Amino acid sequence: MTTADDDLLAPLLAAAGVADGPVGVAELTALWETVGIADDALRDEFIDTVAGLCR
Amino acid sequence: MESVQNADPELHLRLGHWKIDLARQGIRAGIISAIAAAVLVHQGFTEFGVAFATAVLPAVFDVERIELSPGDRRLVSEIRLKYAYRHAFATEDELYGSLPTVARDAINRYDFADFIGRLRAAGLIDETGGHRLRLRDPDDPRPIG
Repeated sequence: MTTADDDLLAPLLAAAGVADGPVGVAELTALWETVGIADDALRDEFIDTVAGLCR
Repeated sequence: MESVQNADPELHLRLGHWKIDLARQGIRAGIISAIAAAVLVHQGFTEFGVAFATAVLPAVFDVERIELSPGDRRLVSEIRLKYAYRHAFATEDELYGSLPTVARDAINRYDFADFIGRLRAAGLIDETGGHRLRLRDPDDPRPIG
């Protein structure tokens, strides 16, 4: 089932060249690049937060 | 999350020794929330961190958008065409009665009540006591002065 969240994330994943499957830091970093915020601390916080979703 | 066994979990994070599955329930929504939270933090809209804002955002974003159908819009126009009903308050029955016969033939009183309910949910109705209401313009939904 396609959800609204899928619709939002799919173009970002495509722009980042990230395949729809298991992702790690490299893929999340690529995803972050598509957001266009040049702030490494914020990027790390974003990655930490996403990782935290799974704990 | 699959993680490589190592003494330092922080190291896993930095070196990429973990994977999350985008197919898992809630992960995609979480990522979108985290991106939105980071953007808000970056723009200075929240003094809280990304993790906190991510936890809060789904509750904030859980807003249902009420869309009026073309038929609803046409009904609003029919009512607002009449100067009296565009500016004064009226009961639901009076508004229904103001519709052209052809419209009343197509829309019964129960459907009209549902229509009023949709307008109310969309914030397009001003109300006074005594169940009197006035329809706002869907294209300019500010309160009528």
